[in-house]
Amino acid sequence: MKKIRIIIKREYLSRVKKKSFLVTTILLPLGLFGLMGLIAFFTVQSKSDTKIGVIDETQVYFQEMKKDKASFTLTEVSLKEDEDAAELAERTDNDIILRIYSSQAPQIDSVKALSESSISLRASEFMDNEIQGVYRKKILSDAGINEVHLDSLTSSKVKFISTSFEDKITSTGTSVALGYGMGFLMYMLIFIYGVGVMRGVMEEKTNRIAEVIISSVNPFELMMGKIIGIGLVGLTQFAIWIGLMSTMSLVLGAAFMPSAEIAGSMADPEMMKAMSDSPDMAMIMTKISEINWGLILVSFILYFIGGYFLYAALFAAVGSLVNEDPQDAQQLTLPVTLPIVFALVIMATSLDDPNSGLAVFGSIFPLTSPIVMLGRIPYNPPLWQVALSIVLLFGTFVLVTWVSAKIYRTGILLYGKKVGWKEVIKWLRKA
Amino acid sequence: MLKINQLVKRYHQQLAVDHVSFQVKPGRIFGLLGPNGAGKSSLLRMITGITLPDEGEVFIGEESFNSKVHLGQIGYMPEERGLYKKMKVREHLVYLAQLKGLNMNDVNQRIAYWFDRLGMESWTNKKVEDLSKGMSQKLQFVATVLHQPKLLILDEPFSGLDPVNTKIIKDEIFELAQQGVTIIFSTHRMEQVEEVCEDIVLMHDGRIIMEGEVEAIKQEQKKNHYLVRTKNELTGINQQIIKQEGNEAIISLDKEEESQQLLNDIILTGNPVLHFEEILPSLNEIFISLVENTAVRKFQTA
Repeated sequence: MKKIRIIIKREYLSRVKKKSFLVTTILLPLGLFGLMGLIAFFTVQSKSDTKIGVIDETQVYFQEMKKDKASFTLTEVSLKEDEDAAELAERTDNDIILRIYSSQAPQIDSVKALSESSISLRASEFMDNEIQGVYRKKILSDAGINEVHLDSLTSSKVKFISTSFEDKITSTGTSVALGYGMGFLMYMLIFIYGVGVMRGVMEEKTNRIAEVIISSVNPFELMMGKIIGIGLVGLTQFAIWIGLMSTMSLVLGAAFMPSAEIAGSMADPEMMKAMSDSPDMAMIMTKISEINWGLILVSFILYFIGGYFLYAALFAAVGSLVNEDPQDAQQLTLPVTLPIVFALVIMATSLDDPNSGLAVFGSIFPLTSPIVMLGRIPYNPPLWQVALSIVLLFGTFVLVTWVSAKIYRTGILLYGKKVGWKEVIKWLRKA
Repeated sequence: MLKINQLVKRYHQQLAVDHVSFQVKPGRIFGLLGPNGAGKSSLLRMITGITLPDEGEVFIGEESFNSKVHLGQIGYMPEERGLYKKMKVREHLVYLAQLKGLNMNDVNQRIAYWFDRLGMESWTNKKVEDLSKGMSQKLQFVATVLHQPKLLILDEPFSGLDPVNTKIIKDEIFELAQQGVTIIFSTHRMEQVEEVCEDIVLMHDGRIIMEGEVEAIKQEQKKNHYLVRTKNELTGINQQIIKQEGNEAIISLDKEEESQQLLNDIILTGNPVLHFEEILPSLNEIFISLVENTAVRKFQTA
């Protein structure tokens, strides 16, 4: 055990002390946050005013439309004789000419927006919404529905919530986002650190240090030392990221929130109000507070340990089989990387229907469960499934480590010989 | 010190080590010889506990090999040896020594001793990847002996070394043997063995084809050839001259006891004798003739 500790220490320190660790762990997230901050800053700053000139043949639509919303300003214009849209835009100093056609006012026929360059998505959405809104309002009031009814229709007070029988809120966009986020994070972690283990083993083999070390410690200790050491690097990096993210979002929040709020309120006080009043927003808020963060953290750590060790052992075995030729590595890693990619695909599809057969299978089958089950966790899957999947995962992890150690023990000392999976199976039968 | 008994190692259908037994006496330098692929490295891996023998047993001293007890007493420098390129010299030595179970006090003291002895002080903070091949060989040697093994196993220790560094390492090996360390020296370079080893085992195709003390083997394998240098070209003797060049001649005798007669006969020719010497075969010659014999036998039986 003392020797394993020495190996873990070396594996850990030699990676953490590297410049590249510093870069990916601290500078990269800082850079990303900086970039995101900059983007946010510029979007707030660069909300340029778009001026829209409206030619309204219906005579009613323009009056009903909002004249000044967010960064859009509407003015009514009309064509002079022999004037085309471009000349009109130039004369009236508008960016867009919105032409509302009508053959029989006040009936609307069609709408056309013209501009010199292509119109931004935001602008066309805004115009479309306005026109549709006025149209609907007109139809309804023509049918005799009065203003009060109209208002209660547009801001419906009926909330729709889906919950489990225990009255825990389930299945909303938040669950999807959370499930996908965690599943994907697990996928990344397993991949990055699993491949890290493989490269470490390959380095030891091609550098010919393996035999020197193995004359002092047994191969199992060397393999486990490496796996644990790199796993700890992963946890360290993860912890630093979490820490950085929370401080950064606090700092950024403090720096940007007031200005964003001002910008937002200047742009559209009604919308801000509507948003905070809207049942969706309230539901997301309650949802976030009702999520069992403790359970999620515990299951994340459990699945990380199980999934990482399982795959790291497999990657170590593969690394021990590779000789100098990196193309060997590609061939040999395929059977190991394939289930990880499958897991990601199953996870993504199971978010739509977290209790489908595929999702349940994927979250219990040990090669995919670390990723798929994490995707399902926010949906509160049945406890027996979680328990079964964890037991299976850890059982498989012990078995795989045992098998991998056997492959590793032989592979790491085999120089200059290309080994295929067929031959590996032969070793295992013999051993 | 070391005794191995009927060791067998198979790789698939091939016998890499075929019922090999021998003993190494304490404090001796023991040569394990054989061409590439003779099974030397497979044998050494079993002795150092890296692989387990399929059959047979290894004894260290009186005890059966036990990795917990004996790994710390063995220093093994494998033929395929390397170092972590990104580590610093001193850091690397400390790491390997700790894995052998040394405490930091001892480690520091011994690193100081060896750095001083081999003139490596200035390397302390160099990265391993910046060392020349000779330097990293020296470093590997130090790493192998740092924990003061009782049994030192060196597989091709001089490969890739220049004559100066070879001599330095060779002197250290002699010095360690003087201090009572048992040394196994594995190589396919016969001439090195002659200079260094006292006892040898010759392996071929996984089997021992000869063993014993170097001197005794030479005596046993000699062909009773004598080198004679005379003032003038040698003529007028009955013994068979197998090679003659100017005033030097190589004469073949049937028996060792005939040498007296030969010398007498030469003296009687009146040609002044300047030099008279029994020619002992080099290990290289013995080895080649033995291997050729076994190859011929193999060919005939096949």
